Amino acid sequence: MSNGNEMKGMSPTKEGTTGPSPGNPTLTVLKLKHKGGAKYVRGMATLRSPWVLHFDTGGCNGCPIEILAALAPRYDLERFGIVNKGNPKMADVLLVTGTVTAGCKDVLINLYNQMAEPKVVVAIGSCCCDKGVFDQCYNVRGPIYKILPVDVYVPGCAPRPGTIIEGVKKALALWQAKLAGEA
Amino acid sequence: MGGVDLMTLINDYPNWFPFANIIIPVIVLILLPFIGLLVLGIDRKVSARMQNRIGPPVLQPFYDLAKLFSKQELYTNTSMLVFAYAHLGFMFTTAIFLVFRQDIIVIFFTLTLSMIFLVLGAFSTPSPYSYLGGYRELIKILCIETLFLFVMLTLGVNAKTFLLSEVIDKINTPLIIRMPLSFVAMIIIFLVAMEKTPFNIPGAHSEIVQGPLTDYSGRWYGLFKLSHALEIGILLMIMYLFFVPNPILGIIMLVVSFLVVVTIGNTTTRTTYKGLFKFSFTVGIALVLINLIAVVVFS
Repeated sequence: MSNGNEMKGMSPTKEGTTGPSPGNPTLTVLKLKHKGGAKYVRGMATLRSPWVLHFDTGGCNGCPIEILAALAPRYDLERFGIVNKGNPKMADVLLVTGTVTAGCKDVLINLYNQMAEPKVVVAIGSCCCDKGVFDQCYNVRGPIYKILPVDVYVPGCAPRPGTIIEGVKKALALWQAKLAGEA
Repeated sequence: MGGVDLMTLINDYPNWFPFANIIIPVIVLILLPFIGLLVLGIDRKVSARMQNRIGPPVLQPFYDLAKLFSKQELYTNTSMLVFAYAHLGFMFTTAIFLVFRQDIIVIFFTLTLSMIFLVLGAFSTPSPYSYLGGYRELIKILCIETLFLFVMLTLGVNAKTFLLSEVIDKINTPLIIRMPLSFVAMIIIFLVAMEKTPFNIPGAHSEIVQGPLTDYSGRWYGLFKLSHALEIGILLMIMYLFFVPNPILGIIMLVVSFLVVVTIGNTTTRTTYKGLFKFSFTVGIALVLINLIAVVVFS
């Protein structure tokens, strides 16, 4: 998964050809116990409109570029209702990239606390999932699972946009499964 | 002739069935936010197709709203919630005055008051982005509501009354023939209300977070989304007023103005607040003033 080779459908084709195949244009929808009702509406609505907050905790800026590529017209995350809001108070999904440095740790926790429930955290890139090449550095406070409850890890250096989309989809499905378990 | 008969039948809606003059405005009032949300959804889809994207489904604003109303309640103080409700309430009051054909000057004042509550809501939160967005919103109100006031004045001077029911009763030919420049000004107001470039300075995305709404989340942000949809519906109704005896022409022209606004939004970049100020107080004021003077001279 690290190179995104499994997701051939999502990988960009040669330049000048028709572009990427959009893959399955619907998100994974798990079966909830009670169809209808407020909880079902809530689950469906959140799956169809996840708003994203992206935070880079320090790194080489490779993963943020891939996230922006996923938001750009070629992969067009907006067809799933995914919008980059840049505001923790309105976001549902926190995308974290880069290894967690000493300077960014408190900011990351602050951003997480400002987000309203229900929320999911997706760790993107090798540096964020583990410490990556920044292991043993004096200023690294990661890996992220020691700081935040992470829902989905998207490894890769850097992960392809298709892999990031897959990660966000899995995070939302996981959140909906949690909701179904409670219902 | 059949078309003319159909038009008279449509415009004669208060006599369709008993109490139709009350029931039909109430139905319009209930449908108005849904129309606004649908327009916003179509806007996102059309914009996406213009940028060679697939785009979200047309019902995306409804999904967004359903999600926002199911989120956890988070707020920094209670006064901002009062202002959020006041904003929606006065927008709803404006819609009530409009569908029941009340005084157009009162419609202008309630719409502006609703916007002022948005600014107060922005100023009641501790976020600096919210403050900056609030000041920009004030400048937007200054520029845009001035144009709106002059359009309303022209409407009143043309009919020699400010009561909307009498204005509509006195219409023989569509108002667009006497007030073409005012309709252009209405398209500018609609462009700003749709939060399109070049004049989306208050909520400037990726510049000052979410502008005046930065500190709102969940259902409180949903209230603002709802009143935004209502505002779109109100402006579309006022734009429809220019074509009143002819519903077919009216709907065609509303679709054309919508496409013009989306095209402008997708082909321009954002200006500063000074850009909006300069544009509004040169081109915008010239449009509405020339129209007002022409109406006074030729009446």
